[in-house]
Amino acid sequence: MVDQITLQVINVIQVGTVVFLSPLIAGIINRLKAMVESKSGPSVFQPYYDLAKLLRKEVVVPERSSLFFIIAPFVSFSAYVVISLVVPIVTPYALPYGILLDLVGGALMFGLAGVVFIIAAMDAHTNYTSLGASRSATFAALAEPTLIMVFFGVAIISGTNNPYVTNNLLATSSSWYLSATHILVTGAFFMLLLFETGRLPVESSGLMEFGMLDDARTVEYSGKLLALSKWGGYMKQLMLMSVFLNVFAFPWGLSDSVSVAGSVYSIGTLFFKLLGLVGVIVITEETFAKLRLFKILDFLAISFGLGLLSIIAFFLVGGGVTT
Amino acid sequence: MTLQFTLLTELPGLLGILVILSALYMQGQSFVDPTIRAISFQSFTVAALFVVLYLQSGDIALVYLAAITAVIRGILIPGIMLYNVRNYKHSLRETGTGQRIPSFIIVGLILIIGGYAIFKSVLLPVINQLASVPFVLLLLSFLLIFTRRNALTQMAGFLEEENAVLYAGAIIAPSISLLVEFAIVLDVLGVVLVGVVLSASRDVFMTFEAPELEELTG
Repeated sequence: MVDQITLQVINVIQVGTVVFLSPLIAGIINRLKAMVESKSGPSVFQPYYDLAKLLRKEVVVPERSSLFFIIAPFVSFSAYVVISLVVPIVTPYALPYGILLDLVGGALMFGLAGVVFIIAAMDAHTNYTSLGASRSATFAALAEPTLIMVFFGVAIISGTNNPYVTNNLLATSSSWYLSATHILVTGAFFMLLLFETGRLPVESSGLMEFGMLDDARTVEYSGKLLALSKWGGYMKQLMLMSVFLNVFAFPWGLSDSVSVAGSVYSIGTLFFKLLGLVGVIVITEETFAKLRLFKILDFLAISFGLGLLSIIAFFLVGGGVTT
Repeated sequence: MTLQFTLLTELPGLLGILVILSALYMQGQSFVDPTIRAISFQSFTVAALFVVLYLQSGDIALVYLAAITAVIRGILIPGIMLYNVRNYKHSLRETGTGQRIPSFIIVGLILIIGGYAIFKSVLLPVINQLASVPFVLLLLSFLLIFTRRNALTQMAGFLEEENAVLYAGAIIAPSISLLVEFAIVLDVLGVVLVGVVLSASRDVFMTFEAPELEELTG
């Protein structure tokens, strides 16, 4: 009988990891990018300083917006906290709330967090945010088929859409890990990860250009609300990266022992895995030029093609042998 | 199950999917230069697959087959084709293909699914499942040949077809050394086609587009 209190403590550790580690990962990405460009770059703790500064500032709200504009960042932040309870981040076994959502449920919660921002951007009643909202909704809709294909691929591999089962199967079966289905699904999900976290070649984050997608929705936010929306963005990035690593690309390294020490050990291994992924993302960002807006469709079409091929591959060459 | 054993059992599948991906990539090109490079890459992948099959079965004929595939279809014929397009490799583009590329790829994907359905109902009861890859590749090579007008792309389709036939042969009947002779015969045909016909059509008709060659030009 596993101690329920221990499980709840591990739950808190997992949520705490997502909430407090995520700005650091964003800071490391920015610092590393600057270093590759031969600049010294901001400190890796800069996102924490930004959040602290924004949380001290007063909130300015557009005159014609409604209450929804104010509650949207809270809803999306809460959605990300809920997701952090149910996806494999520091444990390879399901935590007490893990049964609430599978991968599809997680995607719906991510969808909720995105949709409230789109509605809030429309609610701000300014041209620029509305433009950003319609743009991000258009491209997000085109990313959905890839996501569904990735879920199909995962379902083929493990027979379920539970991320913990997939993690366990891939960590123990090298034949599934090396199967064409798994490799193509991983490729498709990596492209989706670049798209969802606003990385090049799809989007360069920041407020300097009209090609941006996600950041255009939040330009009317300020002060504490902007801090929450930024923080939510960092958390989304960390969770997607963790899911990519723990479910798809590198399912090893998490401690099996149901104890606080085990989950703390897992935070360490997760951090090193994240550093590796950050390296890959930075290399990708620095190697590719930004795609023109309508070329994003091609990018998403290729990721969809990889997802579809992963399913075809299962039938063509068969999957791994479960041992 | 050791990692080495797993690698040996999974590699044919992985290389097979790489071959299919290269076929789809060729289907998605309207320039001739990348198509030729892709067929070279595909031949090397098929050669690597023959080596893996040799490691599994120990049949020396597969090594000869791998060597023929890599040298003739990986280096020699693509080399001659690239030599033919050397002066205008960045501009030699098939006329009118650009608009139709997305539909070609979609047709290719449908063909893969449909091809597998046929394979499953007709051939799977009697032969190895891995033979579905060359079967689908054969259909994709037909598609490449009859959707294109450029003789060089059609030639690449011919090489893809040959890759598919030998690939299928190696999986279905790995111990037939006659396969090596078939490979040589088909390759000789390929070299003649590419070396004589294409060079002549370039020098005489100044074009590689098949419909243009149908008319007698004095």
